[in-house]
Amino acid sequence: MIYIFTALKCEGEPLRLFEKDDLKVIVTGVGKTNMAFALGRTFPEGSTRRSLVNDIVINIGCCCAKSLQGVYLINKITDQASSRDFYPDMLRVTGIKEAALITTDTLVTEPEEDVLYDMEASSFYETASRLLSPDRIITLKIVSDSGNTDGITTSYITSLVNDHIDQIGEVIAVLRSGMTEREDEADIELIYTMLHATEAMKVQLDELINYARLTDADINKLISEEINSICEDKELTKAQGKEVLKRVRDKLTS
Amino acid sequence: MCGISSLPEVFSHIYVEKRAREYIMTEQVLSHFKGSTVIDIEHYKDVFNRPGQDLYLQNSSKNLIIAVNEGKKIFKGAPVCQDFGFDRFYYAESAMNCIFSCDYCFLKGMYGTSNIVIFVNYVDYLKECEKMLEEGPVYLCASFDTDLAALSGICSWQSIWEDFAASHPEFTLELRTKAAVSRVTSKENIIYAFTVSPEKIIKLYEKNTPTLKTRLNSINNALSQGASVRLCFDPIIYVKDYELCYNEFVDTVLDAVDIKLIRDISIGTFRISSGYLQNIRRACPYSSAVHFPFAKEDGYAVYPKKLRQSMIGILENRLKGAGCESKLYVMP
Ligand code: SF4
Repeated sequence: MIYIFTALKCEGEPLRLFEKDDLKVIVTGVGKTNMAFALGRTFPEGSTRRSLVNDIVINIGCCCAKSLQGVYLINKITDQASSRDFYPDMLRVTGIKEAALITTDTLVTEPEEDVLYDMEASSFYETASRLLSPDRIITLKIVSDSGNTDGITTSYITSLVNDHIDQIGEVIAVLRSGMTEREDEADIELIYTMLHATEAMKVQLDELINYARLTDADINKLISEEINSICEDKELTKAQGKEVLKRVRDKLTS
Repeated sequence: MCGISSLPEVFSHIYVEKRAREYIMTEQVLSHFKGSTVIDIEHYKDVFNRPGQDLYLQNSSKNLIIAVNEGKKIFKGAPVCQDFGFDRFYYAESAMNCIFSCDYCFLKGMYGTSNIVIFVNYVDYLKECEKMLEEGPVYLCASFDTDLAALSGICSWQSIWEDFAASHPEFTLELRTKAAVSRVTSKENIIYAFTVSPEKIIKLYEKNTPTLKTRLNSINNALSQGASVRLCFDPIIYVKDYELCYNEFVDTVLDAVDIKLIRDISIGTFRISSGYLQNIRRACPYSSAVHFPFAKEDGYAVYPKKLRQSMIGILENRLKGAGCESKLYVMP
């Protein structure tokens, strides 16, 4: 699942055209606290790195810069208040220019050269990085002003996002192309039951099944052969289950 | 599987510690990557140690970090390492991680990233070695947490260590590599330790490394220049037809290399700390080399004893048969 987080409704509205079953746009409100809360609400309690291994988050929004213009993929985020730096992993070719960004708590009126300024990205990255790998935390910023926000209206921002919608779409396409889910574990409940597997045996069985898959060995056949050779037509005892496990291991590794 | 096709080139991004900017080696490294995006960082750990990095993806798109090592630089060798009879056996952390991507590499288990760090304050390392030498001879494995020879095209670490060893006879240098080494220094105390593997294992599990033929050519080239050469048949990796595979492999090696000229030979099967194995498996979810159902012995994942003995036996017997008995170091 891809989640796009924007601070403002007017930033998020144009992005709704990308919404499908695999993509959702979330408007957070302005500032670091709102961003952190929104991420927290999106990923339910009990979420783990493992459970979110197929998720990607993107922060899209406007930013200020002295002379840079256009849309940027952020490769370094500095939180001005804490001086902490964050580095998204730049592992995908998107074709978008890159830049560093500073997240501030107040509006910046005198930006420095060659850097962008926003008010959410550091909190977005820091919060998301507790659950997601650094390559799955993407920050895209569009320069809206150079420190003077007079005349910046919601419709101006919406049209600015619309102006860059093709580039944003390309980034999303790259992310979607890499989203084929990693293979799920095989359904092995039946084997567990047949062998009366204890928790320790289940761990060993998982390992053997995975190894068999990687070496093109037919694990079902191996297990059936061993079961049949130990007790035809009857249910295995616990001790026999262990013996089957041992024999299958020996066959796979000799 | 993930979108590997959309991954950038190797070293598309280079992270440079601000304090590393003043070192010559930094300039030297950066000069090879004019097209890379260079990002200034405060400390290499801010990038290297980020939690939850995806090693599987990073493996196909490694980035580089250039840093100053202000921490420990030289470490005592671990018991699981072959010490070749040297008491004061150390390894240096001149760089961390490797340009190659062997599935079974312990670095995948040890570090939570595939990105490579090159430390540029080599003078500090040499000073530390000088100090250690005051207390007696030192054996230093300089290519332990990396393959330094493989990095020799972009930084001068290999020649720095060679020059130091050349002027310090009490200092024995081991440069372990799978790379194609063209230039060597012929000194008794500089050991080029070439890891050789069957071509089948190279293709399956030692990604981006030179072929067996290239490695054997490098070995012969080093021998012809009078270098001290060690052969490392380590790690031996299990495949279903390992007997045939490793027997044919020994034939190839013995045909190609004048074994009498070899200084010594190490033999060992794959072994890894159990803690590292979990990380390696996550980094290589599709590699049968690391998903083998290993036995656990003293905190290490190892092949079952019988299998281990059988695998080692093939190499040991063949090499003994070739008259190398006195040169063999076997990790049981
Ligand atoms: S060459 Fe050595 S250090 Fe490099 S990846 Fe392979 S095993 Fe690891």
